[in-house]
Amino acid sequence: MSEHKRLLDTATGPLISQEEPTLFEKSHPGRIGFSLPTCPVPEINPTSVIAGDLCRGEISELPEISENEIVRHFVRLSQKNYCIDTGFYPLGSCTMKYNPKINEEVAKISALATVHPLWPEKYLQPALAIQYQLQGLLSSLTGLENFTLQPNAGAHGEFVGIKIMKAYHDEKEKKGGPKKTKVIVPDSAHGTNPATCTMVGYEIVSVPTGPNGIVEVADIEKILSPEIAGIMMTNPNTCGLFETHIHEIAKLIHSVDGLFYMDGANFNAIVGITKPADLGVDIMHINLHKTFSTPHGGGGPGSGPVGVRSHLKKFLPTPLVIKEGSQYKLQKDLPESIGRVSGYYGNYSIHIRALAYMLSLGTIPNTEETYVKKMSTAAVLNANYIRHRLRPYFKIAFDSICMHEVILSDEIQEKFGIKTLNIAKRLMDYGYHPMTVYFPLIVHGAMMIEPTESETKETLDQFCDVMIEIAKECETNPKVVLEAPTRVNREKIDELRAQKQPRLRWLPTSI
Amino acid sequence: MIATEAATGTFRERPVSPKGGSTASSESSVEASMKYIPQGKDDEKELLKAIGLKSTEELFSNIPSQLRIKKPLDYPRAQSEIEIRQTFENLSKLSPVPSVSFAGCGVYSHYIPSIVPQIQGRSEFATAYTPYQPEISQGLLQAIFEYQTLACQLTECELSNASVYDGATALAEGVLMALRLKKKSEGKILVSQSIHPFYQEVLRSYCTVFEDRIQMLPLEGDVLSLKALEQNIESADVVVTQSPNIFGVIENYSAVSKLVKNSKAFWVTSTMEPFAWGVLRGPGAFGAHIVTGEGQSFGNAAYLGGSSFGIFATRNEYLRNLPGRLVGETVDQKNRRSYVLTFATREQFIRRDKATSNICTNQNLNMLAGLIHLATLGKKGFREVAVQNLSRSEYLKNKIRSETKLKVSSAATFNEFTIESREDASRIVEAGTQQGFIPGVALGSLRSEWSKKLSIHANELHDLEQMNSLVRFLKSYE
Amino acid sequence: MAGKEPGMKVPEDLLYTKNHEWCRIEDGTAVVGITDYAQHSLGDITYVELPEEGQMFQAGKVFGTVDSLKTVAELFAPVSGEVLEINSGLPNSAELVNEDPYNDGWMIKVEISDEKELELLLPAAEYLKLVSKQNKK
Repeated sequence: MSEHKRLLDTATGPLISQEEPTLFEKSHPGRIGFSLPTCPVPEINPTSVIAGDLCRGEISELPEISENEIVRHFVRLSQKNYCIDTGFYPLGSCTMKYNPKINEEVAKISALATVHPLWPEKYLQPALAIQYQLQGLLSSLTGLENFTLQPNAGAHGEFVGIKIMKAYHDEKEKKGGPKKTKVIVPDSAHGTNPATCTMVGYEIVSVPTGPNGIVEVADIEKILSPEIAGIMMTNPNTCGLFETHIHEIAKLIHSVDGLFYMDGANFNAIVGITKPADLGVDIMHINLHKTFSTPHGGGGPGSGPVGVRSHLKKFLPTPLVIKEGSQYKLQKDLPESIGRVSGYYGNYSIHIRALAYMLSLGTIPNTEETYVKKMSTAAVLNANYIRHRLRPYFKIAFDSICMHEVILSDEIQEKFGIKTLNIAKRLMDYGYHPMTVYFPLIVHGAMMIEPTESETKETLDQFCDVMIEIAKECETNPKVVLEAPTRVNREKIDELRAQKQPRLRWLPTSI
Repeated sequence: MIATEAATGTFRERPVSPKGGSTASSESSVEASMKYIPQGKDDEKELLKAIGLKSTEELFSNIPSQLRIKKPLDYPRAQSEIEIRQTFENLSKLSPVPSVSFAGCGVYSHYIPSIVPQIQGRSEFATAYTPYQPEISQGLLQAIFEYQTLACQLTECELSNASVYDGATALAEGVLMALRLKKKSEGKILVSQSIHPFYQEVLRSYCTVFEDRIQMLPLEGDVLSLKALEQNIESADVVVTQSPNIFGVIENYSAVSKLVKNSKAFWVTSTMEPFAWGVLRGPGAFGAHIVTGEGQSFGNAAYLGGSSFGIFATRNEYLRNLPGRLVGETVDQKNRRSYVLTFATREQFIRRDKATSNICTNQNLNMLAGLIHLATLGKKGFREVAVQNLSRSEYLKNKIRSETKLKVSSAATFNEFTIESREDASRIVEAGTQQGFIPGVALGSLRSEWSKKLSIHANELHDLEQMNSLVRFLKSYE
Repeated sequence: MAGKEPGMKVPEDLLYTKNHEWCRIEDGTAVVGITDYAQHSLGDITYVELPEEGQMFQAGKVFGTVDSLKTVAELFAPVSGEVLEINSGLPNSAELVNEDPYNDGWMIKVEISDEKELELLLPAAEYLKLVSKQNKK
């Protein structure tokens, strides 16, 4: 049997959309996909100006493909992905909202895109103005006076935030203050939180989540000590709940001169509703790629601006974007800064998009309300509607009013031998991207659903209908759930083999 | 995914329930929603009613009332799409656009083939999340796998991750990885002074825990002092170099290689301009343990240095210590070639405080632009761009040397070089801007002791006339 | 060897910890590994990270990690002492832990520094009770 015939027999759709060789297999000697002007100056043989033992010639392994074939290659690859523009993407904790197209358009304006970071400042005005305005709007929404846009992602923002925490304590320690060694992190936290603390050199003190899915004041009191440098808390938390005691917890942390770091991963639920500064937060990062609609891009670039109260401003990464008169400037003279954390000034291509979004969601004409508040409200209402509709069929981990996401557990379905992963995979057969699974770790078989404000009631209803259908299948026909997915172009991928026989780059020998 | 649905006739083809819907049937009967937020007042009422709530206020009852925003937000008026476009057009005019720029120093404005933005911008790439669900993400996964392969080919390494934030953080992560591999050793981290100062600063921010172990290696002319390296390598755990370096000069990796091979140190390299690998051996070929680089030159516009991806490659034996995301090839249950994120237990979402890094992104879309650009160039194009960069830069360098009184270093360079003036280079830049162009980067802006140095970069976009006018302009300096 | 269900083999001649390590005592040394229950719960084990010979560990401290496909578990030293020997083939053939947790899948050999600590370890019958209870959950 030919390979094509074999593939056709196992395929669930047209073969052309299912099998695409690698670039390297498509390569054919002599084909090219580029054109360059003739070199207007004498062509230099590298070995005539560079020591021969440092030089190399053509890299023989690089592919040789014509332009049309390259385009097809990548278009076909693109078609093998689910994306927000395909359909509902209820991935909890990731805020997969619609990514407006105008944002992409303005980010492509040539005079904005071609700005070189080391041009004199008078040539950087468009870029610095955009960053300055974005900082200002983030301040308005959080109440935190000063922002840096340098961090390239949420986790990078965490790193900056905790380094600022450390710089604050180091300064005090030098003046005879106590040695601070520990940061409190709730057990429901994203993995990045403990990983970040370790990178900065802090020990973790884990605090349990209470029975209602939030941290209890008494549990903080129990572990409070002079060594506590601060707390790192996601709010709303990863259980999809607002940390109701946050203000009291902040007071406790401050009572031992600790700082309150708020992980703003879930900021989408509370924008315009409450300001983190009013909650007692000292430092916070925001994920522009979640709350402010910039594309996730299949894994970045993100952007993780960090905001601080004014007394921590001096520790922000260098340089700061400031405005003097009508001129935007880079302030570099910051002796107490934690230093530079990325090559230049952060993912500015993302800042443009986020600013476009934030300006679109401004104050509603003839009212005092803002669309940002409407955004949060709609996101929260949508999540609660899903919670309400799925409640008869799935165990809701914390069944009270939730924020932007709702967490189910597989407790009911487990009786029929079905686990969370099976439900997630079955959703693919119905044409949906699965929810976030097995997170937070503290919920058994967690399924985290975040609808965002982008979705219509019809979409929510269709999704809930499917979830209910799956819940029924678990009882009546568990086999179809266990075997899922069968209507996508790959089934049960052998992940063990990927590790046992690692192939992490293409090589001429076939698998 | 899409084809599958079409082929199997699915759920999505079911008619939408006729009841719901926020489309206003007649003018003014329903208050309009916002174009990104379909939930109108009528939907809101219906949803609230279903849940059993009276108002949206009740949704936030878990937020103590005194902590909620009472006053109107200090926030500008909402802009329509037409206004947004205008706002950004206006912002773009806040500065003049230079007629030509010779600035490099880590960010290079190469020609980006037209297929790059067209494909990179496709929804299926741009609006997807990290490919954690391999069954519906094969395209993204294969693209990453292809990138990993190309990165290995260029760096002459065995193993590459899916990329990290940028060149500077890649270098810092590389040093942290080397320190993990060195475990309890307490040796020095030798850092060449010829590394871009911003990269050095990022390295220091990442390595605060190890700060007292960092020792700077001095320069000899515009390159790393091999003598200093030789004298200190005995006590070193890590050696950190960059080539081409901040002056555009190609370091002698053959010599560094000999010294490193006779020591116990791990060698971490950085490259800001990966097109240099079109004429230079990859650092892996010299035995570098960890090879890092800035990928922006491939497929990404300058964007204030904010459209980057960090190249990160090493040897297979260090797989378990690699930071960042990794894609591997395997098969599915029908024995079809498949790709999947693999060796995830190194990463923060599983290993938490013991992870190899807290990183959980790979600047994927920027990397994708780089991948498409590299695929377009292929074997011949990659070489040709590199040779043209070298040739144009050499032409410019020689012409400045022969026709001006400025000092031009004789060290080997790729597509940027440094000239020295008697006066402050920032004044040369300033004078250039008066004529509407940027003659280069005054290195004094990076380190004050380099105030007389001007870095000049030329690539495939700089034509003869532009280069000749730069030389004419520089004739008035010495 | 009690228990016929998968993952419930508990050899009687070994001592156990609540964290699912086992210990075989031989002439003042302890050979350490993880139990059948542990390997079964972890699933396909892909990697084992072991300490170096000569390293000292206090009882209860982490001496290594076991990676399965989707998770990673820490290994806690059952007794204090110096690592005399490690199963050096294990990192490259981690499946041995799944296949034969009590013999070929052993991990480290420790010189016992304080015999009294052995009293704190669980005999087979007690450990079996513990895992039977956890299994029901």
